Amino acid sequence: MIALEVDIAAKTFLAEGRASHTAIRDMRFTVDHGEFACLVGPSGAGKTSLLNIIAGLDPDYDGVVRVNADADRLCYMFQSPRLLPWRTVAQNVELVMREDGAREAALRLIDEVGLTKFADAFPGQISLGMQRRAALARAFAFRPSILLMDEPFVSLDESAADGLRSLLADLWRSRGCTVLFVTHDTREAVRLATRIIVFTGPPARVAHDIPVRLSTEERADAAAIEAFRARNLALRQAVAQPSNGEIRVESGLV
Amino acid sequence: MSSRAGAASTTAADGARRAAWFAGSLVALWAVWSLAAYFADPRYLPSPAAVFAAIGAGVATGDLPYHVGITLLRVAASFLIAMFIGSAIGILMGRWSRFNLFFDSWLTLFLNLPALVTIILCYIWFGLYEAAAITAVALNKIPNVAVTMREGARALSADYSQMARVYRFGRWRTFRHVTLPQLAPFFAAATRSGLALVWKIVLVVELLGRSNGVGFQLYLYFQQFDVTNILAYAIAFIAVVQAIELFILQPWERSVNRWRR
Repeated sequence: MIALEVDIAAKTFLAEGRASHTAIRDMRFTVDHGEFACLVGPSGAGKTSLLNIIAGLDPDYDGVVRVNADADRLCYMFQSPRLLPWRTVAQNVELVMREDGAREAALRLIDEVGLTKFADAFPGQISLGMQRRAALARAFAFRPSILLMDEPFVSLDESAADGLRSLLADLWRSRGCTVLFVTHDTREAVRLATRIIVFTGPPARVAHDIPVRLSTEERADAAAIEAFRARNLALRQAVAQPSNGEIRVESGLV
Repeated sequence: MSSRAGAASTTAADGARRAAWFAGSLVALWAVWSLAAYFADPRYLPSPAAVFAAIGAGVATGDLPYHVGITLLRVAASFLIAMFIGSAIGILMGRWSRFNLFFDSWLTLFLNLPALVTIILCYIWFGLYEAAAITAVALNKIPNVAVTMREGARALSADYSQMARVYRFGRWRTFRHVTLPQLAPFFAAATRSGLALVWKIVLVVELLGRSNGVGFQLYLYFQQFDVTNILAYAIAFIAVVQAIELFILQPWERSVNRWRR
């Protein structure tokens, strides 16, 4: 069953009243309920523009976005943590919850992401990796129907990023929401996704759609991930490059 | 841990040194004043001892606390009105460019209007009433608050308001947890400069058209050429203002700024 349907004819940015830069052109894809879809594309290909449109932050585009889920629980985890610096970690998580007993539920999630000791710390007092954990706890505290994620683990060292990836995989498995995860890192995509949507750009549009059927053990195994990439991603790019002639952009993927 | 302890002891030593300098400079001021008073005609410059005796006498009769209290009430009333209206105007101007374009010239006009003109006009238009006095003081302060809060509203982060939208904060939660904390430093700045201005204007308002308060008393003692009591009221007033700064404003600012490292 389809949870999210994206059909964007064009997203154009204006400069001094004239169309100056087309970020997205003819981008069409759907995401099923419970799916973990990774959108993989090079940096600067219009990924953030796309997520801003889907999240409803940018109404100025040409096309349709349909949400066949609880639209009030469509959540967006930004690239930077965007925690309120004047509220503690626990308060930041608690603030997005509307239920009774929010405090206890917030503390449980904080415990799940391993921040119990820092629940009463302000975001400025903890590391970026911990801030990202807090942002992850906040996103799941919101009980999202659909969770959009914009490269939420960039600029972390590999071990911190990988810790966050396992955490996200666990939370997604136990909470069962639909995830649309944007990244430029194909290893990260194979590690997490049930499906990879490769896009080129700018302007962004879909090039390939690849299901990922790997077990949890295989996802934890770097060699299995490399093998999957070699089999599916590198090959498809080699085929795709001559046909659409966008070698410059696609080479950013490998 | 050791470095933190080291830092704490440095701050403690710093604090002790500052306190010593502060006390020393006050003693020096007292000495210079006493010396000058010794050579001067006591009608023109009484000794500090005489002035503090006058403060004691004023407190004993209850006159001084009464007039200082009345003045404080006027300061509080006009300050609160000015902060409320000034913040509303400033935030609207900062968030809404058309509103800003329209009212910018008005703001410039009121910023440059001498306080005395506002006071006289208020008394002429509304009569020598309490409401006129408080309105006059508030009107003098509103433009300053508006200018400061406009800067604050312009500096609001788009990132946080996007976050608040995504998490469906709604108006009230956004205002309380996202907007207000960002405006707090500007609010503190407006409060500081606001109080400093309001004190002084309230005295003028009292001098021109009220029959109590510190301003009225100063006028009375001016007529009687009583320099001792003029200085007594001035010093009592400075003490009250400093106490408010020390025991209300500074603790409030510290608690608001706790999250900054």
